[in-house]
Amino acid sequence: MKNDRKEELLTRWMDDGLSDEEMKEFEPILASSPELREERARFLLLREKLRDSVPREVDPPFPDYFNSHLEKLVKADQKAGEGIEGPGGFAAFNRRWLWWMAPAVTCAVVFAFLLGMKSAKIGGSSPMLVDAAAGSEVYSPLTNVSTKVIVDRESDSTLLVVEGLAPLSDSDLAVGAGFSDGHHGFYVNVKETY
Amino acid sequence: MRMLLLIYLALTGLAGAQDPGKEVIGKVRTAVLFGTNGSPAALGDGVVSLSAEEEGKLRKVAKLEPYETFVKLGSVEQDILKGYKSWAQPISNSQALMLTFQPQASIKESRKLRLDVEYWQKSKMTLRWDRVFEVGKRVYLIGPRWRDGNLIITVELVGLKSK
Repeated sequence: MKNDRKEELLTRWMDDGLSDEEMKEFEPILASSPELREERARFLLLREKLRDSVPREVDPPFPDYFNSHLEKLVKADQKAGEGIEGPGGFAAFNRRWLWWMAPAVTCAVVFAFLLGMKSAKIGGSSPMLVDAAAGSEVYSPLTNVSTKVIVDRESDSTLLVVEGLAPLSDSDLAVGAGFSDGHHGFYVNVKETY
Repeated sequence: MRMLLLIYLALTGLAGAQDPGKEVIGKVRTAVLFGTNGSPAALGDGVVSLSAEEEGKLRKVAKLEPYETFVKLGSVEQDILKGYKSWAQPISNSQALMLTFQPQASIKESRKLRLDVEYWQKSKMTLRWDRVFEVGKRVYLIGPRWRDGNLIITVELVGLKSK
């Protein structure tokens, strides 16, 4: 088995994302390296602790999101500090401490954002459809958009049900002259991928 | 004339050789389908009926169960370049529905390719889906409502160059 494939299976196994078929493929690797189970248990424990310590849902990632959120936190903390303690050396120390903590707060907000990224929800509507999101990650920057991945094992195809999208009008689809196949789009150079 | 053509081919070949990102590593087909209770004739020219098998597959999804008819409004096949994000516009003249594909070449394997797919609706990036696509296995994105029905966007890896 190629190293790339091993790496992919290992990563997904860590995230509980292997299908039955992939799990069978992964069993020999697991048998040859039993210490992986212990590693995974440690990883899951750490992940749980991290999830418990930061909020799962945050506002959408607009460009000015982090700055404004940070500003809000600082202002709220300042107000709280002023309300509880009178002016004095200790309050000033608290404010300085707050500014020193700004990078840490930024890190926490970034981390919360990453955790808040909406992963595919598991769910199904029919016994013919099997729920699985193995090996896929769905993200939407829009807070009102939710997704559900369904795998139809009978036809071996995947369906991604998206809720919350704005409806389209006739002018959006340019239906005036009837429909015809689309055009090749354009290509944008992405240097980091090669 | 022939000489000019040869020079043009030589230059374009040279340009391709200079940019490894332009290597074509596969082909993806995107299509826009529509589930409706209305008459397909009301949609105008160019719509194509789907097979009963495909209609049955779509009707298994609760959201699409009420629709009697499914048609294809448009589709396009597009090369996937190694180092480029490819934009596809499945319905002619409409940029309201567009998709981008960016290969994650590091875990490319036989008949499978991990792609970052983005769904853009009215010039807004609405959804990003990072998944392993397998040649010939179609993926359906049950998308926005339009008229009395629902639009469905399909993505299928139709070809993959072996390493």
